[in-house]
Amino acid sequence: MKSIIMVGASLAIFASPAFAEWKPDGPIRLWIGYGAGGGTDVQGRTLAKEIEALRGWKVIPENKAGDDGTVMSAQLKSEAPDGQTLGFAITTTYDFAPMNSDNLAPEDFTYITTTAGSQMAVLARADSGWNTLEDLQAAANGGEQIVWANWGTQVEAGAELVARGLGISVNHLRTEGGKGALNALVSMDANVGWGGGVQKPLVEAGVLKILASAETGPVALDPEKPTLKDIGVDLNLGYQYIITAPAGMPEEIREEIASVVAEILANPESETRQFIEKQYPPAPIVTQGEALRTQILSTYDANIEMMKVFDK
Amino acid sequence: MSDAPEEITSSSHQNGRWNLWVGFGTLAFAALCLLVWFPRDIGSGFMQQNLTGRTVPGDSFFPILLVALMVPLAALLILSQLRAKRGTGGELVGHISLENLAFLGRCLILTGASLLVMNIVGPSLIWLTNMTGLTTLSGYRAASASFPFDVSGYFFGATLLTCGLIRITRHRLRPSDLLIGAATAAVLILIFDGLLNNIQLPPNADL
Amino acid sequence: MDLLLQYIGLGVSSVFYGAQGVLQLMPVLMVLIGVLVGILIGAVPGMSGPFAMAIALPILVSIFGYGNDALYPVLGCLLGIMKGATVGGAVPAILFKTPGTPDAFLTTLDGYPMARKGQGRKAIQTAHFASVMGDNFSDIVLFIAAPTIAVAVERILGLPEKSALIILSLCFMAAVVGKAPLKGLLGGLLGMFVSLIGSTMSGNGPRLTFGLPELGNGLPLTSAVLGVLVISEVLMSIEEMHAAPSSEDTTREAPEMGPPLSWAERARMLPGILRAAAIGTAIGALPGIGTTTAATLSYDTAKRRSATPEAFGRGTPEGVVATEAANSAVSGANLIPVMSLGIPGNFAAVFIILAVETIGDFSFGPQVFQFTPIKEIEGFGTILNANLVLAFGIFTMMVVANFFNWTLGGLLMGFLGHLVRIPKAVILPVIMTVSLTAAYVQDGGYLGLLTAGVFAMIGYGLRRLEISILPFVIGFLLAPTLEGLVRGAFTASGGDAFFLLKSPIAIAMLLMSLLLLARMFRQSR
Repeated sequence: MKSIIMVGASLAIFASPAFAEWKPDGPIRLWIGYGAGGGTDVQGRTLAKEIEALRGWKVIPENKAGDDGTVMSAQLKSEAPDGQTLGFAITTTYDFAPMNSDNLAPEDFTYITTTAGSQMAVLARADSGWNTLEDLQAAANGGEQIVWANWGTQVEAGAELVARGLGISVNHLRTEGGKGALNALVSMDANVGWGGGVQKPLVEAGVLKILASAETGPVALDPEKPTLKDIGVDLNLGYQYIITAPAGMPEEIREEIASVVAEILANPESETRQFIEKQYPPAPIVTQGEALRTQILSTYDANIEMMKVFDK
Repeated sequence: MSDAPEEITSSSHQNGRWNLWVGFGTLAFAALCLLVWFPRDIGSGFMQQNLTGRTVPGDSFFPILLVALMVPLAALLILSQLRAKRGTGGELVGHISLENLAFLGRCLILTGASLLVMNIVGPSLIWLTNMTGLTTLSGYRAASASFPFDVSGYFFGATLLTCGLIRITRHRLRPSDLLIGAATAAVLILIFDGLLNNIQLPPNADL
Repeated sequence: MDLLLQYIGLGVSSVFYGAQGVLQLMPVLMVLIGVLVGILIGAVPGMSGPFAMAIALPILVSIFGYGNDALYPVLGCLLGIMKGATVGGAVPAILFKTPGTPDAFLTTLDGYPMARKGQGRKAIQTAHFASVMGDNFSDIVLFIAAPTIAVAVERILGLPEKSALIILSLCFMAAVVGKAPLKGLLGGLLGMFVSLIGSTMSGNGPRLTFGLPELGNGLPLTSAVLGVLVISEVLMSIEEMHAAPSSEDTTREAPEMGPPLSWAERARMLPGILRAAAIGTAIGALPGIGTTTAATLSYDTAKRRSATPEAFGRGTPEGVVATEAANSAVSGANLIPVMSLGIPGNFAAVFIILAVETIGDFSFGPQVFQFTPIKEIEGFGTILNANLVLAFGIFTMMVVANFFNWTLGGLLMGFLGHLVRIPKAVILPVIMTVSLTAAYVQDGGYLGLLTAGVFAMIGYGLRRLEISILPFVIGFLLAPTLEGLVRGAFTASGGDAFFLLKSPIAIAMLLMSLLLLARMFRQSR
């Protein structure tokens, strides 16, 4: 619900033609922080195509994959903030990853707009017979060894927090990306795992089951399931897809680019919007301007707090 | 994809020292890795504590394992070579001569020069058209997606590379070879820039 | 059984019908193009199938992209090249004693004398017939063996066993790789090591990058393999031509072609073909042993078994049959370890794996042959093992490629004599420019180009020092998987340092690895 209101709000603020002053001097390079062929890549490339169609700017997508967008971001921050080099990654890249990195800081970037949000959930194989985290807890207490598939430090910390909240002990398996976590689940190398959105076909097919939502609200695929907060674990692992630029980008450029994206995502005919509705339901999430900047910085602080638990 | 089988070398053992070089080189490499490179360039140690306080293999676990495995193999290589010196047997021996290095150097210079041409021609062309009043572009970056500026550097650089290599293989360059070089560059431009979208020829992906 | 047939049906139709059930000709067309290119390339001196595959892969990916629909056209073309090149390679070997591929070297022993005796046409047709038959034979073995092995493997393998299996195959490969096993192993370790550059497993940022953020996603695979395999070889050939005193291209006249091969003669060859194909298939199924070994072994066997061993080397069709059937049989059988275990056996297989890994959501390994029950889900589609459909799709495309080889190959081979006149002095520089451009275009700009360049230097050094390249490449491709498996097995077992020794199967495989190493060490003394 919130996201839809967001779209409306941003439209009212940014879509007015008065801002359409800025024009790029030559092609815009959109650096996609993930490998070619994945969901992020498809979203980025469709968006590039639609920006080109809407404004007539030449937008060239380039893949700079690695480490959840941080490899791309490390290169992006030293580019000129002239709106002609943009990055496409997820908010985690900016509000968690800098903690473990010498060459990234949240202040290194201009945050232009989010496009879509994750569907973070705790998953298990359907044949495990578990329906909720309580079932998992019972199985663990019954002596079953729990192996949790994670693709990064943040979600591994999250898994550990959930385990502590449930009072059980789990072994963590680090996988290659979100898809790797699903593979580990399906091939029985792990029995619990995170899914950020790629789990959709497998959940719909009845191979995997959602135990709980790790978003602030329930996930679209299984709205009946509680959030982690409902069961007493104060954790939000949701993330959004985000377009960024190097720090110090002039306001008018940021607003112009943000308004183009908002306009595209508000159009029900838009290919990007349709892709998002299918892949990251229910609708695009468009947060821009100061609100977005505040969100990134405050989540970063919250994440630092979260990780302090592990320092002892 | 290797040499024909009959070419197996005859006068190998007087050059047997090349196997010693390989062995000692490997040992030196292993030492360099373990003492200098790894400590500076790997974020976590052989084993590390993970979030749950358990000890798990760190990022240097696998690299150290691999490099450590090289040591006994290199030692074996050196030993077997020392022992094989008098008789035949032992491992096949190769060698790299000064001529080989000179050849490689020549190829590197040629490639470097071609890349330089690729980088320079585009901006020069824009300078030229700006001077003559044909365009008012702010620089190469602004034109890096418009024909013919975007492929101008590649065209001349690639032609230079092909022709330079033909000159090396044949010791001379015929006018027809220039045509072949230019045609190769043109065909590649046609494929990558003409037929395909969002593909960037050198130097356009690095601006 | 029913399920098997369903999957085979889906696999076959997936080649001809697209996702929406529309008839698609692109995969078949690409197989055709691949076969034609392969035959032509095989006939050009200095070029070989893996060569053409290496250059074609980045170009094909630029054309078709990374989506799931791209996989069939790209793979079809690569498979076509692989098969076409083994057929085409025989022509220059027979007519001019200049084998287009090292695999065709042994074909010159009897093919060339036959051509000199005025039986050029017969020799070429013999080579074609034996080649295609050998190819078909090993494909059939592949179709049967790969699923069987994979199903057996998947039943018993967890994380520790999978790790042990990769260790075993690495050792195995180094042990059989030839005359310099110690250096081969060193090369393999080096390959494994360089593959770790820029990777990370524990979230502490990329390692071994010299502080360059561009290396943060690891080295670009295709460029690295292109450099170490193709560019280094081209460099060696260019240097050879440069050093040769007279580098003028000699124009050669094709000799008198003579009468064609009769059907009765073909029928008489069949036992020889079958034996050669069996040898080629057996050797091909083992990782790491080249086609040359298969051809040599087959030629020697044929000579020993022959009623007229003295005819060998003087122009007997039996000799051509023995080498060509064995050569071609290797290519299909090589895919057995590739598809069932994800372990490449030769260079051609390396590119098939690279294509499958980079394009779409597929990957090779035991999971390919899991017979997931096919279920229809309302509003979603069908749930099935897409990898398995792909596997049968690949088999189908191989059959299509064989068909084209059989028909068009025979027609084409008569004209190939002219291709030999393309001067190597021109073709090598052109290959170099195309390879470097492909590396730049496909793999992130100068990063790809530099990687290709550095790996070309490594490859050049390895070749000059008589260190076999295959262990290096395979180590390079397998190390990341191995590290992931080892770490995964370790952490999933809750930090048990002896996880590898807790499973009898893993122990057996490790023991076998030790045995291979010991044997190798004994030989090298």
